[in-house]
Amino acid sequence: MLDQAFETLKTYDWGTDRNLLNPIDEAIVASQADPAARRGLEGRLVAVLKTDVTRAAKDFVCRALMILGTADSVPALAALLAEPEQSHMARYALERITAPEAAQAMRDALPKLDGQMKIGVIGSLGARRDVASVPALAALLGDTDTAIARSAALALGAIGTPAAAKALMRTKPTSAEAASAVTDAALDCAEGLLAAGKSVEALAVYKRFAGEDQPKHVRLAATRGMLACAGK
Amino acid sequence: MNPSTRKISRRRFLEGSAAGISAFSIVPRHVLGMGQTPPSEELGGALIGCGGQGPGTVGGMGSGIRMIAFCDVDRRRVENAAKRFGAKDVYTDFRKLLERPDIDVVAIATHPGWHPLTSIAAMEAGKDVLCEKPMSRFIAEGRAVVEAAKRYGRIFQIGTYGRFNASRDPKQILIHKIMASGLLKECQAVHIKRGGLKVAEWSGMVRYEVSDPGDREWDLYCGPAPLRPFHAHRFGGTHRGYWDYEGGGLADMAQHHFDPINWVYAKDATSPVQVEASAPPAHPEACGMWGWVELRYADGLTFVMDSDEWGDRYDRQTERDVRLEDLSPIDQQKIREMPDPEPLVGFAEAVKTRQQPGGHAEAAHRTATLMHLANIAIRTGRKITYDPKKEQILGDAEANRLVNQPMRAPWRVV
Repeated sequence: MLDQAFETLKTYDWGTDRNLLNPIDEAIVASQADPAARRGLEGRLVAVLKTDVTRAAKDFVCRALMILGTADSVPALAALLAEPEQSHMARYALERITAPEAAQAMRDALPKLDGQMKIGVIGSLGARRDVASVPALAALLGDTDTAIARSAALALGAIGTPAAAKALMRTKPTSAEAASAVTDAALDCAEGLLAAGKSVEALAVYKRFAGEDQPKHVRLAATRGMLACAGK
Repeated sequence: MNPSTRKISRRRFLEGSAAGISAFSIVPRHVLGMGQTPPSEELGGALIGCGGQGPGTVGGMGSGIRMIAFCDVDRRRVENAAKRFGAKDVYTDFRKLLERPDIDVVAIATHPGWHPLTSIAAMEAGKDVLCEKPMSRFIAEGRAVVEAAKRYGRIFQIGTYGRFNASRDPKQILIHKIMASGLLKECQAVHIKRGGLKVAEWSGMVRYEVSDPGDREWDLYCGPAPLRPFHAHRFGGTHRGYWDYEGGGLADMAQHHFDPINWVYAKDATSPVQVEASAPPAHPEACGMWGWVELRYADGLTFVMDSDEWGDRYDRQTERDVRLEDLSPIDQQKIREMPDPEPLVGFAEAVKTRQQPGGHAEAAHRTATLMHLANIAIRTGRKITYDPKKEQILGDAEANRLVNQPMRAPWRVV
């Protein structure tokens, strides 16, 4: 049954019977407490990913690797990051594979990507709170593509280190859309800094956004932050 | 970054300063006079997501709101909704709607995959939000909504109101006082919700056909979820049966059932520590059948979701309330002398007074977490241990992958 399902996967496409792949789903469930069986399944799934199968088949494999993928899956998934139709599903797995190789692969891919694929990888690095990607993300704050600059800002906000805060404070956004992302990210950063006991760094961020030039709700957030920094 | 420490910090500064700030910026309504809402006080309202519960969600916002803009990926639906409310401005992209400075409050009734993203975007734009249940699709995005509401001092109210009734019931108030007092160290209470969770209704329905989306903005509808070809079964109410968009009957109904119970048992700021389910292996894409889920808090309080639709009935424990007699005579007296909790504040009043609404973001998130943890236990088939502060599943990396799920670019919340 399992072999037949893997055979079906080679020609599987949307619109054909998804139930024919169920033996693979069942094998994943059945192997939860069997690391050797899991590795075997992962190997077979990765092998499919390296072949010329349909987008639907790769979608299926990426969903499975989101659950059971390890560092062994990373090279095959990373190879899909630059494919417009596959990039998201590659991240769907890579973002949740805790092995450091997954973050490294996304950092390595970053300079080679553009558009939505780049935005997606930026978001995944932010979601992983990947401290090592701060320099690369900081460099993207001035990107001419507003959407990329905006994503980089939000990712830095999620990472929330002093270096991320400095990068956000230094940047001069070139559009209102990027500016709002920088504001939100900086406030996100400040909250993280404050929680980590770095009130001096946090206060510097809050002061930056407390001026009359900011919208009312942003001034409110900054004022609250300053009060919190003062222990009130 | 440890999410728990950030959360504590934010709560602290809200408690310490928010009341003080709002006290100086709000003119009491009694100064202006009650009754008809003066035009100067009327708020500009909008609805994002006009199908299903959409128009009904608008009703939950209360009075004093003039609906001026509507948004839906389905042009026919949005035009019908606008017409119903006598409005002209319609959008298919919520980002355009949120750019309008004349909109103060936003009702959100999209499919749940969009609830957190639209809520956060609205609050970042300075709007207050009434969001239809369920609040979120997974745990981490619910936390992101809570953080956005706190950061910008925005009002967030979940669109389920059972806790307002519970908070007026003397029996429930007594339980609430006992639990909120902290005097009960070991709780023997077991709350069982049996049936009414629509498990079969939203189970086992993966349809694999492909059809034409017509004039629907299908890519935008999928939003953060993986994009795959359109089929009508993935649109409208039946979307609930797919993990990509919602969480089956649990996501559909559990927030209704457990939101008041969470208030009664004073669990608005924490979550269970152990969760166990009785269910067959779950399909990776479709919500399936399950029998029961047992969720146990650190103090011993147990919530049970018993579908009554699959397998054996839950029979590990029998239902039991918290009783005054569970406390020592001295502590019983303390409870008798304890004042009743303040009445819960509705959305419209919260918007005007900047008080925390009854179904605020943290409370809604903790209730939503119940169903997410239940679904994770069902999907993994394992007993899970949860850290309510870090909001992570402990000792099970695979289960933990379901706490925060990747989003399709350009969407993100964490």
